Amino acid sequence: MSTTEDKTRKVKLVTSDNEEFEVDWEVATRSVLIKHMLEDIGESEEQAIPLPNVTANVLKKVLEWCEHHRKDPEPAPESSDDNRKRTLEIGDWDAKFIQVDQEMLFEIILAANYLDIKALLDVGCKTVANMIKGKQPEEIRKMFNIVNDFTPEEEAQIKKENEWAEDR
Amino acid sequence: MRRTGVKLALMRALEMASAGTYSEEEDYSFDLSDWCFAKTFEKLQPSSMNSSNLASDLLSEWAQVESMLKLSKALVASTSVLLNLYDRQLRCLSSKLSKGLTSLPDELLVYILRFAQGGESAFKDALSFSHVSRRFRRLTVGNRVFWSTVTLSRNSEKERIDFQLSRGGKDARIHVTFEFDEMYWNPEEFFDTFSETAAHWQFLTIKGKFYEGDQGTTIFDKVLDLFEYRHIVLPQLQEMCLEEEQLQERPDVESYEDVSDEDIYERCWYSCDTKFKSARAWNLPNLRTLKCIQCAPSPSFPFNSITTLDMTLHILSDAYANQIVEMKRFIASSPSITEITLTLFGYAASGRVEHDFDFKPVICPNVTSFKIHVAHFEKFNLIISTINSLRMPKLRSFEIFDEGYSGWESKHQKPFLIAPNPIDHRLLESFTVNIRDTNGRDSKPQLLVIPLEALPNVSSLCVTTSGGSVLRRSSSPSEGASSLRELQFKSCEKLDFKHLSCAVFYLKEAGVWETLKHLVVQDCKLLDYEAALKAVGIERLRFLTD
Repeated sequence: MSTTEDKTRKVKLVTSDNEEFEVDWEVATRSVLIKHMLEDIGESEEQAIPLPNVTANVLKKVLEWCEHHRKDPEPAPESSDDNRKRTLEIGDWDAKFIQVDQEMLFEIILAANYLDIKALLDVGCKTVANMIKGKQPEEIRKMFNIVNDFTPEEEAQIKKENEWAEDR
Repeated sequence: MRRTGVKLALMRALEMASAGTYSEEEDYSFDLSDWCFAKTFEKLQPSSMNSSNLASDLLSEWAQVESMLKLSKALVASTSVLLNLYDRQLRCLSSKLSKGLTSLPDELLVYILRFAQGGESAFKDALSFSHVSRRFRRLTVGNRVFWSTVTLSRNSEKERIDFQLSRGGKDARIHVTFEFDEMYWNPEEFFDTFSETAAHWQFLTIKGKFYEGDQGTTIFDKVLDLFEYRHIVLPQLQEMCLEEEQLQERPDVESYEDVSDEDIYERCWYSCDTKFKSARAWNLPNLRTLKCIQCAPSPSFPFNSITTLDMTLHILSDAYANQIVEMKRFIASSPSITEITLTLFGYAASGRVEHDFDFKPVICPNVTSFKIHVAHFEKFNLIISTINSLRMPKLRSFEIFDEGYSGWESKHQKPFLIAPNPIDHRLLESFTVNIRDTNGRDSKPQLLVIPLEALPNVSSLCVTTSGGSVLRRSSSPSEGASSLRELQFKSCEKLDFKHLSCAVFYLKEAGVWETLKHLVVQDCKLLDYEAALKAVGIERLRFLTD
């Protein structure tokens, strides 16, 4: 539970390329990882939080998202990922935010995963899922530069399985 | 010695590409030569150097070699610049690709693929993913979740179903669809082939399309036939969906080429008079949800474990009474039902003719949640009468979603609140109203007036409107305090500072403000945080965005 004091507090974050960011506590604690680290270091305001897996340009983008969503309620814990309803819908602001090149998109996903920002992770993963959805294997390979490394035996099995795909 | 003009197109092209001018703009030309002077120079006698021809040849070759050196330097400069450019681009590209999808850890890739997997196309999607690469195959084939949704219908091949079940394992959930239409199929053959999969059936859809020639056959007659074909136990079946389409020829339509069903036929309604009592129904111990689309079961419908009823009806102008009465009759005969979702589509005459609807009330003893979704009703007498005829003494949550009326003769009707009678529904604590004004795009959206006296026990009120909202209370504030503790304005497109301030004003006037804990503003485009804060104040405001 955050207090009024927390909300006025500033947090220092240091990226892997040694750039320092000073942000509001409310913004930084969209990340569960940072929140827990802040709880661990207690009141020590001067101590910077090291983020060795995130570069400055990616953190800048992540913090832009956190700033916009600073007032969002904390997500409810999910009982099971596979039982929840999976929707590919993304809010208007998030959709514009995530219009970045593929490199940055995957960097954001990795950063959101590392920083434990579930809602941002979902935005990134849904964006990639939307790119994959309904595509043929060859199209997926081409889009993400994936090598077809199947053996001839596996190819034969795949061909057989493809016949079932036509069955309704 | 033959002199040949060497065209320096390649050189010029390289320079253009590298944006450089390393060679001078002179027209180089070279002789085809064996450069013999270079080899024999030392052997030449000084006397022979005086020969004017020899000196001229020597100078010519010297000049050519010097030009070649200049050109070589220019070539090196141009190609170096280009090579750097290519290197930079390729490094950037390879970096992008190497950090792409394949660089994600397995759990994130699976997470993405689960999002990308559709509901109805789940099997095809899983197959497609498993055919991308060996890694994709390992992650999908090795994870039952990707194969757990199996669709089974009259066209299914046993080999494919067996294959899916082998991948889905014990997690496999089969969605079975039986269709009864013009196409012939043999249910007995189907059961012979697939009844061994019954333990995995989780969702069952039975659809029927009937014409006048079917002489009043309903989907429930087909359900009864299925019971008689084979008695089966479906231990995991949770949801059954029954969908019926009854069609009769329109009286005034002539047949012509490419005519569609919609042109020739119109919907009609046949009451269900199927007698289930004498039938040996399937054993469905875990059936919880019944969905009925354009049909209503008779009270003898055999399953008494149903807790959720989801019914969709296109109200027909010549059958509305039977439709509503049969729906009520079934609800009243099913005391296990605790949740009802009713979707009503307006009938053709709803905007022009309003009947005096008088539906006798029925008691729904255990219903705690009621959702009604209405679309294309210009007037609401039928909706109000339907809601008034359902007495739900344990009702705690009520939601109404009105999509608005978009008929060609539409007139604006002021949006108003439809609520169950507060005297009969004293436990009602959560109320959601969502009214969309589909014709309001070009005109000024109208205010939704919410009379608080209609919701005396509601503690949580959620409002979504195209226009603004006004809360009013006709009775004196001294006549009992309102129970309202949380008011939420959600996705109210036109709710601005003025409307929000008015809402706060009315809440204060009605004496509700003091006991109100939260006023939530969520995704209202015309209100930013500062404006909402100014209108509501920090103590009660909860501001949420998408």
